[in-house]
Amino acid sequence: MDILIRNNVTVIGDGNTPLVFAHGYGCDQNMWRLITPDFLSDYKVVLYDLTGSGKSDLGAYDFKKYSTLEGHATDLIEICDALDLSGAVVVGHSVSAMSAALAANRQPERFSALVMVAPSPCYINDGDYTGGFTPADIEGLLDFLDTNFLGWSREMAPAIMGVPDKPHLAEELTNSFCRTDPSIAQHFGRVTFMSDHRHDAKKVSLPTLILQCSEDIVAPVAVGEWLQDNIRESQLVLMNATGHCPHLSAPAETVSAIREFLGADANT
Amino acid sequence: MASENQVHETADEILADLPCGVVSTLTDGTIVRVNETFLNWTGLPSNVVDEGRRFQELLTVPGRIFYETHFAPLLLMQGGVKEVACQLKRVDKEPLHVLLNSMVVEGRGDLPRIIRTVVFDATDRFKYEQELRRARNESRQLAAIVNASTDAIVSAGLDGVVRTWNPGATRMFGYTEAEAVGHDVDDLIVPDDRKLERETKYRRVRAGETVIFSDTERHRKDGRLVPVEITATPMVDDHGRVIAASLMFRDISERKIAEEKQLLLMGELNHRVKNLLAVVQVVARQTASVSDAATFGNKLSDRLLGLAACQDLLVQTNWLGAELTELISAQLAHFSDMIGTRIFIDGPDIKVTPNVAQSLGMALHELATNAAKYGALSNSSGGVKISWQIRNDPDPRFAIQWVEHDGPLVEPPTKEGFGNKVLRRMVEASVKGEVSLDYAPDGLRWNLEAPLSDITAE
Repeated sequence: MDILIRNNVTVIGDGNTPLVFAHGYGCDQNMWRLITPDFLSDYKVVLYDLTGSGKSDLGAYDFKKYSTLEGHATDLIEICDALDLSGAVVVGHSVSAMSAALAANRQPERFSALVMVAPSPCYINDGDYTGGFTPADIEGLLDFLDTNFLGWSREMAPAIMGVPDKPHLAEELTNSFCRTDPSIAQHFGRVTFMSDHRHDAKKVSLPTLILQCSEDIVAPVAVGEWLQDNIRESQLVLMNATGHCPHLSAPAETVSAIREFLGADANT
Repeated sequence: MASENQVHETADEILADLPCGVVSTLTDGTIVRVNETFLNWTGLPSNVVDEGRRFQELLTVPGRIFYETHFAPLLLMQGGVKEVACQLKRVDKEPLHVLLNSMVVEGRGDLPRIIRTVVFDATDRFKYEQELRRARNESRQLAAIVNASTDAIVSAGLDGVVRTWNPGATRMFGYTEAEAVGHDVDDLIVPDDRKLERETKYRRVRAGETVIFSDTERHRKDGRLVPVEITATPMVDDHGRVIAASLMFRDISERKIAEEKQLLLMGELNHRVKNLLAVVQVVARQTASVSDAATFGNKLSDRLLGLAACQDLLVQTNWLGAELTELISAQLAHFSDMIGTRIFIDGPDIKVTPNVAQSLGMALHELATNAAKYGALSNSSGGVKISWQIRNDPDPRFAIQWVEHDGPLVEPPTKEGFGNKVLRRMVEASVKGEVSLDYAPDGLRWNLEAPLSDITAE
């Protein structure tokens, strides 16, 4: 199968250094559209949809392969192979920050740095570790997803409202943004929120930027701090942005934090 | 007139009392305005706006995760979302099930962008959805059972046209689901001579009755007939009207085979019991004719024991026949300590039919009894050799010999007793063979020869 079609891979930009963006749980590569324009002049920007999300080949979603994040890490490596990328910087949001870490631990020579946007290695509280959730919270979420997907998932995207001045945006997003198969959404939700990759996080050897939002219920500040303490070459940036998607809610702040990290990295 | 009906309401008055909650927030969710209905529902104080709280904090944990991973991105990317089901936390009450519609409104001039959210009470709808989900899960489980069933489970309209066809039906009748659905069940599987029966019984199904065809036949795509048991049940709509029939077909081939086998066995058993009783009758009569009152009981009892030993062997092998070696051992059970020292048994493995086992068994019993009383086993030095062979002559033939040696001097009997009769006539009659009985002075010799096909059970 063509990997580039499977994951709906888009390559844009005039630079040589690859900057690969991996979206998180819930949506697709459109999540990055407010920040990618700022990297086109000096980076080769690679965007893709996780298998099972957006315009990826939903038929390729093998419930066994993707029962852990390793399946998504394999996809990332395969995309880098298909595009013959070397020295790539991976910008991973939320759960994909951990998939990128798994890929980088498997093939560190292929990547040069990681940018983790609102990452969490483990969502469930465990002893001294504060993930932010109890197992009951996560079970509640999965039940909740079932409720919403009952009559919602595919009808959601066309329900564009309040953008009469941007019809092109509406058209592009129709049938793609946040679209997925309910059973895949359930499965990916379970895999994401039940995952525990603290052990793998400790093995990350690449320079790593951790973008931590304030007031992020999905990845609380304590989680960002834990990652900073446990990834050797990491920097933690505590952003003013609130919520879980700073690249949407605070694109300028997100771009400047990434630029500063990459610039500093290039100079060392 | 018109002015009397005119009601003057300000926009704020309308907003306050709307039958839905209204919330305005900044793009990060910070609440800037709420209406009365929202405050009433949540139990929040009217100064909630001054506390700088975010709307997403008012949702239960799962709702808040959903807000951050789906709702907020959709709002920011698409400008709006609608009909998202959430639970709104309430002061001192269970969370309220709500539906949210939100849209982003660009601020005029220097004003920031605002998210306007309308909150609908969805308590009843949630209950209904829960019921739907429960029913959906239940029907999935039922569908899984139907799919996995080895029975053919089919539904057909009142016109006899197939509507559903499970994998069990495909296995049983050979038609795939695509080949069956939309076709008349009569054309597919009902043999011509069963059509009247089907019509008669389906009339009762249409009248609302469950009908069982306990033993009938249907044909497969390849024309072969399958014996089946059919349960035909009416399917009714909400008003109790019969709209279709569910048909369950169970393959009863094995049951039929078992029933036939049972019938056969009953007949066979009856036949054998009669035969055995006839043998017992002959044995008793003959024993009586050569015995006095004092010895009759013991003699008869001995002979019946010999018969019983045969019977045991046959029962053990399901009446399929008996190994000759085992048959001999059973009849010589009284002399088992002599086997290998004074009694030698030698021959190839051969299984004899139940009939042969019975008559040969009785002959061996008589020979052994005679040897113990008068022959080679009556002194301390004599012996017996029992041997059998299979020869091609040119058809395969079976021969068995009983040869005594070193016993007391043999004298032929003066009259033919029962033992003699058994040794000659009964054996000859039952195996269509030839018997020779030789009262040689140095030891009795008995020989039977017969076609192998009369002797063996396979």
